[in-house]
Amino acid sequence: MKLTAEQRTEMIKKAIMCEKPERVPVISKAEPSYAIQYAGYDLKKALWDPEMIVKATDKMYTDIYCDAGGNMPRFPLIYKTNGSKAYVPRAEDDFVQHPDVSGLLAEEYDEYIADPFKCIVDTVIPRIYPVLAEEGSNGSLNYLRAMISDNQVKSKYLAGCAAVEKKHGVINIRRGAIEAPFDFVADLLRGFTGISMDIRRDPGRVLAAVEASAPLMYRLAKILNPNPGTIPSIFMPLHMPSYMRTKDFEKLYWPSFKKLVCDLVGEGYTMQIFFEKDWTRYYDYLQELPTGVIAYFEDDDLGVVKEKIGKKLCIMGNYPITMLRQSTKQQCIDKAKEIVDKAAPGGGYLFCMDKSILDLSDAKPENLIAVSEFVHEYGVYK
Amino acid sequence: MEFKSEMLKYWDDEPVAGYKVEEKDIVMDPLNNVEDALFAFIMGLMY
Repeated sequence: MKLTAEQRTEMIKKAIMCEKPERVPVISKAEPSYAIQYAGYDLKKALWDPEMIVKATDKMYTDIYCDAGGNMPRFPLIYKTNGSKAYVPRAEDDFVQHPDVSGLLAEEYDEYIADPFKCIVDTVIPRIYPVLAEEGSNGSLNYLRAMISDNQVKSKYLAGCAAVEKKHGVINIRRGAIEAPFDFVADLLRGFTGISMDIRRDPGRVLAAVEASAPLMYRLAKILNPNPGTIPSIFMPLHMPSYMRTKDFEKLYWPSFKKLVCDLVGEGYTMQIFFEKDWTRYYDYLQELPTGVIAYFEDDDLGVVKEKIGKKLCIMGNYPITMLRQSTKQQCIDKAKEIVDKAAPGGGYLFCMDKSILDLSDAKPENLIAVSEFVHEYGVYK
Repeated sequence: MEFKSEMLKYWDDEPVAGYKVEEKDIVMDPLNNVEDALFAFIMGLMY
């Protein structure tokens, strides 16, 4: 039974607020690169042509059941134009890769803490995007090229996706993405290697930099998603905690992250937070987060998660996409049943994979179709 | 969470250079929207 957009919106909103909807909503994490290959298009050609990605998404939504989705691919046009050293289209198909970079040197922490945005413009951008900092008019023109390419490709993609979502009644539950303040410092500013040393050598400056970053993330969230509401949510992938000692997480990561989430949820936003890897050590902290969070888990057992935080937070994730690649259709369905039986009772649950499906080899389409249809039919609340 | 940067010319309490207080209703939002878009674009380069 196909649902209307209104029915889907209603049940997703109920699930997010930890209520019991009519059914378990099925959330798609099949990325555009998967849709392109599923539709039989050339990956490189399609990544340069947002209208081709939209056509591929149309085919995917026609064949593979879902109630909601939402994504923003990394377009090679943008990164070729801005000359990024942090996001680099790979030679064979222009799928964008992310090497570890360090845009801020350890001795530049104080400059960053004093005025983070000024430091980003003056110091970090020239290091990660040297073409934007070329002398004279070249640098200005390259900034304009970067901004124009960004606007052109994203506006075409978003308009096309909106039309396809309307056609299929699929709900976009994501608008805008930000980072936890610590991850913002860790990712492109200091890099994984740099931040790992800084935590031990100079935790005071790390904390000051993290605290200085929080207002930037708050401001960015409100610009990217100007109308607070239950959906669409603001996406926030969390990167570093599973690599940190608990005592460092408690001091350096948690306070600014919690405040940012609480402030935005307090203003009426939903935060879709991707708890990457294993969060077992941190369940007691997560209990402090407010209702209005979609807690998206990768490795955590949703039965345990449900017991620990399921009364306050809407949970989703943990269906292993490796099964979609390696297992039989029946084994895939059995796993879906196992997870739904653990996570769905009482509501507050969205069915979803444990991570984004990027490549056709990540998931056999027949398995993805079978699992999505099974959950839609099986996940009915009595 | 208050956000300030000397790089961004937001009209907050005081008018930005070149404008008068009495023009606030006309020009403040359009000017600030430009600063927002500039800020968001540059921040978008950072993650």
